[in-house]
Amino acid sequence: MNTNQLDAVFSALADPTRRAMLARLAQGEASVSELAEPFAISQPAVSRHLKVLEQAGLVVKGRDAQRRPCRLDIEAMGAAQKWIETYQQAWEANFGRMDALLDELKALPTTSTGDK
Amino acid sequence: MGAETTSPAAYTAEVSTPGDREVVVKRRFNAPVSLVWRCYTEPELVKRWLTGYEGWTMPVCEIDLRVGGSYRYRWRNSEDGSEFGFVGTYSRVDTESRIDHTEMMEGAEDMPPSENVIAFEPLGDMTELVITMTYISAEVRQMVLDTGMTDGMGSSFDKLDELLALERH
Repeated sequence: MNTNQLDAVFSALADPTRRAMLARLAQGEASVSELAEPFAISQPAVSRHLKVLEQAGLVVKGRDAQRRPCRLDIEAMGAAQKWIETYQQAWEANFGRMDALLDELKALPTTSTGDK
Repeated sequence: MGAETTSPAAYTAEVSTPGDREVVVKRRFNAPVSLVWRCYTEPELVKRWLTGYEGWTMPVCEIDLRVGGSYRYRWRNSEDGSEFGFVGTYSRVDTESRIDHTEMMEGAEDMPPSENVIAFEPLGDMTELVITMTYISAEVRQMVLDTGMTDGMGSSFDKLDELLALERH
């Protein structure tokens, strides 16, 4: 996954309505009208959100001409997830060292703020 | 609470990207806010944990913690001697509660800074830290994250294990 596509994925994920639509699709495919149901927005608005999700590669439209069901592209979601996990590990390394430091500080008599 | 049975590894950082320009990092610490605050604001303490990559040290850590004051962080790679740094200015300092500051790459100060908020939430004897970083655009966020933080960090866990082993006696 290149940087541009990752950008598109994160922009797509930045909107709460689109995240809710993805959460719905995570449970199984759905047509545009089924997707629109739980939201207080028009079908055209839902279609616009879908277009953003499709362009980011997160959602694929099925071939059934009648229903055009949408489904999640697990692979694209996975790439975004993987990226977040890598970033998380970077922070975790810092915070792990901070844990050890905090334990040390807690053991110092000068920093104790009373009995436990 | 059984605090003595809680190992540091029991907490993990949660990273989320709620908007297209933000990164939010949340982490719980088994220590009171006063100590977490010190780890963040006393240079000698900051130098001991904010070293990121395996093989990096933090030779420069200057903190002038007041509104309008600035800070300077600089890291050095002990292998090849390369260095990079961050500089910024504090716009809000609420003792043991919240710090707002800008952040720029040293040497790239012409680029618009990110705006960071560090919130320290007390949870009984523990602390929840919430860091919100807002970049000027989605593209800048991506660039900073791609270049700044994400390579070869897993090995830092080994360093953590060593450090913890030293602390346990």
